[in-house]
Amino acid sequence: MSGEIDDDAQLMLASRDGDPRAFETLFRRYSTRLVSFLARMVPERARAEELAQDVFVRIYQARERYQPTARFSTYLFGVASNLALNELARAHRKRERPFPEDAEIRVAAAAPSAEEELVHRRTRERVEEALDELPARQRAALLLRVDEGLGYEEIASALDTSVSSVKSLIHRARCELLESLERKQLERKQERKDAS
Amino acid sequence: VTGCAEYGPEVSAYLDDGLDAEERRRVEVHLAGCASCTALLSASRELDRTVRELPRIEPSPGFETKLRARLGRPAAPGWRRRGGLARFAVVGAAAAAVLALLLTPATPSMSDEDWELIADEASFDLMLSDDHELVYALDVLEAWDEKEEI
Repeated sequence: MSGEIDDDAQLMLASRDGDPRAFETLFRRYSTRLVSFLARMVPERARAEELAQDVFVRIYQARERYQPTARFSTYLFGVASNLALNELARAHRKRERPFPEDAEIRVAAAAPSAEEELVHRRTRERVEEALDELPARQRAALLLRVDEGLGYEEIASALDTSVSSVKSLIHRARCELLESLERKQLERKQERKDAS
Repeated sequence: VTGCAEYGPEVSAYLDDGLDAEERRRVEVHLAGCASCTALLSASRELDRTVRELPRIEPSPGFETKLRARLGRPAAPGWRRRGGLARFAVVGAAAAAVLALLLTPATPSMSDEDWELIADEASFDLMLSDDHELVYALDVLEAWDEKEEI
């Protein structure tokens, strides 16, 4: 990070210096984003929440060692990615759907018609399914770029890899997602054809 | 939709603002004459938009309460701030403990969860530390991996 310290990093420094409200502000800013990211990385929603708590606890307990060498979000999602990838390496289990019935969800689109909403929902579900099938590091790299807006260097730092590797991970992730969506569309067409 | 072999990854980087000015100009010239890469760019933009629109998942109602309880508790021994020799001692002890487990697998002195915690802690120390003195933590992780394979 060159020169300036971002607002979140300032809060982390304030927390390090004993301001109890600073960490609470960080918690409020990042809890939903962190749970969302982890719920798309690991199989179960409950486990994603446990990992999100682990991230906050670890960062809080390491606050005295904190140095703002990168944006705070890079640091936070670096810890989260590491925990999620370790979890996946330990447990080779199939990922469940990330949207259980009791999940409170925030939909970004503003009041679309019922028909539009149905189309959007189906598209989102198909993308979500395709995301599930991506290799974990590709999924992490793509989510950090597209959902969290991290740059290639920040993602490289978070995933402990090189910028050229990040470039390749994200490109392959997009190609695999597009291929998977295309394949599913063809399968649906074939099913409709067979049914008629 | 993968783009052409030469420029496909560059098109993704172009979309992500991951290129310098000269590289961007080269990709733009290429895009003007390559239907495959133009299709990749367009499909990737649409894909990214959909990914960004995926619903955020709110934490459960008890999330904050549980976190406060955890933060209010004294830190677990492995997570206390430690430095210099103390850090070596903790990580070294963890490595020795894991190796002891490997040598005497029938001893039920610690659960799998305990060992996972030790490995996690060692991994986290490595990630947070800029120095290389924590190379001992690698021993713990490698020993853990070996145990997993057994």
